[in-house]
Amino acid sequence: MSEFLQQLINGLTLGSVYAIVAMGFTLIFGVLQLIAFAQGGVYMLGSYAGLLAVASVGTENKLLAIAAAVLAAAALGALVNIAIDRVGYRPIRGSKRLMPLISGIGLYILIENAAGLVFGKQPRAYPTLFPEGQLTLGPVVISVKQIIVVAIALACMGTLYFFISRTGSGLAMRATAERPSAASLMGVNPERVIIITFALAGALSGIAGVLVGSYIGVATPVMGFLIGLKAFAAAVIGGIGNIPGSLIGGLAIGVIEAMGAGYISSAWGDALVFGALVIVLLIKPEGLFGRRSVVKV
Amino acid sequence: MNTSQPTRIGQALAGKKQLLSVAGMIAVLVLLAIAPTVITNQYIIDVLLRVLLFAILALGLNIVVGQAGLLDLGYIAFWGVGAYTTALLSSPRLGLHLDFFVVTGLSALAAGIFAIIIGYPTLRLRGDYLAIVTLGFGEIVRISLNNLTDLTGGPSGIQAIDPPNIFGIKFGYALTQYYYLAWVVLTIAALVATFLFKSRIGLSWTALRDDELAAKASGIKPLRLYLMAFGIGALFAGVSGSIFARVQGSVSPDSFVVDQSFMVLAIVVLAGLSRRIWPVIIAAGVIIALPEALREFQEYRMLVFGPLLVAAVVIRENAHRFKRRGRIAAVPSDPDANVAPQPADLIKEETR
Repeated sequence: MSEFLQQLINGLTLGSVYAIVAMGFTLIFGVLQLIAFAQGGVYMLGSYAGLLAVASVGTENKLLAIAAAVLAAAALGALVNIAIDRVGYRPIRGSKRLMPLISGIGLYILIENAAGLVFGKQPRAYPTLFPEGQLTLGPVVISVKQIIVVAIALACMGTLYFFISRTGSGLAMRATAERPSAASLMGVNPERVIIITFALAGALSGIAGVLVGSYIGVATPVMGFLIGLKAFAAAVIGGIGNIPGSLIGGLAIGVIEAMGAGYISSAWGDALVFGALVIVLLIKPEGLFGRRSVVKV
Repeated sequence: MNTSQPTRIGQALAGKKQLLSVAGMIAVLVLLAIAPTVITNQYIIDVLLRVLLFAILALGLNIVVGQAGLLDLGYIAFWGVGAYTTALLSSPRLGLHLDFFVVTGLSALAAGIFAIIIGYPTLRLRGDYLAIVTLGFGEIVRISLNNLTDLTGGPSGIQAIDPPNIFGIKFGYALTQYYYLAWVVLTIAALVATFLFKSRIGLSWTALRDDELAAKASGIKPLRLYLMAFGIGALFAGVSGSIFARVQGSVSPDSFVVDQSFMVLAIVVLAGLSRRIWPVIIAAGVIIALPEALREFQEYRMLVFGPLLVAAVVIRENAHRFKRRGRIAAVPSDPDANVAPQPADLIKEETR
C-alpha cells in the first residue's frame, strides 16, 4: 500500500508538469485545429534557458534562482513558439491538415538537432534549484522538490485560467476558438490571437522544461521527444480543446507512467502511456471530457 | 471561365505527363539494373542497395502520406517488425528455417496486422491523431525489441539469419545477388504502386485527401480506405525489412530508431507527395547517398532534414502564387497538382 501511495505521489508530480504542456497543445488546437509538434522542442529549450539563467545568477539565493530560471524559460519559450508559428505555420495557413503536421515535425527535428550542436549531445547536470528536504506523512515520503514542482505548475494553471477567463485577450481567444469568422467580424484580429496563443503555450512548455530539469537533475537535447508525446496523449485523453480536461489527462498519464515504472520497469512505463492512449481512443475517441464535434458544410 | 478549350489541352497534357512518369520510372529502374555491371566498387553497390531498400520503404510511405494524406511517423517500426519476423523464422534463434517466400510473406503480413491494430482505434476519429500514435507505436516497438530479451535477443539482436534460397539458388556473400533481389522487389513494388494509384482505391484515396466530406458524400468509407492505405504501406515496409534482415544477416534495435522514420518521410516529401514513382526513387538516392558523399558533415545530416521538410511544405503550398496567370499549366488537369486552398475550403473550415 505504501508503495502504491508513493508511486501515486510521484505520478501526480510528473503529471502536473505533463498537464501544463498538455494545456499548450490544447490551446493551440482550440484556436487552429493544429497539433503543434514542436512543443516538445520548446520544452527542451526552456530547460536549457533555465539552466543558463541559473548559471548567470548563481544559486546562493534559491528564490532568485528559481524566479530567474522560470522567467527565462517562459520568455524564451514564448519567443521560440512565436517564431515557430511565423516560420512554419503562418505561411501555410489554410492548407490541408497534413502540411502543418509535416512542417511541425520538421521544426522539431531542427530544434532538437540544433540544440544538440549548440549545447552538446551529452546530458548536462542541472543546478540544484530546489531545497533537498523531505516530509514524511505516515507511510509516504514527499520531497520538498515535489511540492515546489506541483506548486509552480498549479500557479501556471491559475495564471492561465485568469488570463483566459478574465482578460480581453482571453475573451478574444475563446471567441476565436468557438467561431473564427464571427470573432473576426466582431473586431478580433485572428493573427494577434494566434500569436498570443503560441506565446502562452510556449511559456507553459518552457516552464515545464525548468521544472522537469531541476526535478530529474539533467537536461538533454532529446528530453522533449517523449514529453511531447505524453503531453499530447494527456490532451487527447482529457478531450483535446478542453483545458480542465488537460489537467485530468496529465495527472492520469503521470500516474499510469509512475505505476508502470514502479510495478513493472521504467522502460515499460512509457509503453503503458501509449497503451492507455490507444484504449481511450478505442472506447471514447473524443476523450474523457471532449465534445463530439459535428462537421457542417 | 471558358472551359472546353483548356480542358482538352489539359487532358492531352495529363496524358503526356502520365506517359512521361511511366517512362521515367522505367528509365530509373533500368539504370539501377545495369549499375552493378558498370560499377565495380563494392562500397558504392552497398550504398545503392540501401537506396533500393529505402526506395521500397518510401513507396509504401508515399501511399500513406502522399495518397491518403495521413502522417505516419513510426513507419520504421513496420520495417522492424518485418525484419524481426524474418529473423525469427529463419535463424537458429527459434530453430525455424522456413522457405524464403513463406518468410517474406509472413513478414509483410505481420507488419500489416500491426498496422491494422494501431490504425483502427486511431483513424476512427481524426486522421491527424495517427501522427502521434504512430510515433508512440515506434517507441513501443523499440522498447519491446530492447526488453523482450527472450524473444528478440535484447540490444544485441538476432544473428545468423539464413541466406535466402530462391528456386534452388543459394545466396552466398556476393553483394550483387542481394542487390538484384532488392531490385526485383523494388520493381514489383513500383508496379503495385502504379496499379494501385490508377485503381478505384487510389482514386478514393485522392478524393479523401482532397476533401474528406465530399468523398464521404460520394459513398467512400473513410475508415476502411484509410486503414487500407495504412496497412498496404506497412506491407511494403514489411517486405523491405525482410530483405534488409537477409542482407545484414543480423538484426538489432539500433536500426529502427525514429530518426530513420524521419528520413523516409524526408524522401517522400522531397519526392513531392505525388503519385509518380521515379521521383521517390531519385529522392531515396539523394537522401541516402548524399550523406555518404559528405561524410565529414554527418553531424549536420539530421539538422538538414528539419528545414528541408519545412521548406518543402511552405514552397509547395505557396507555389500557386508564383505561377503566371493564364498559363495552361494553371488548369487543374493533373490530379497531382496541388490545389490551392479554395475560398470554399476556408468557409467550410470556419463553419465547423
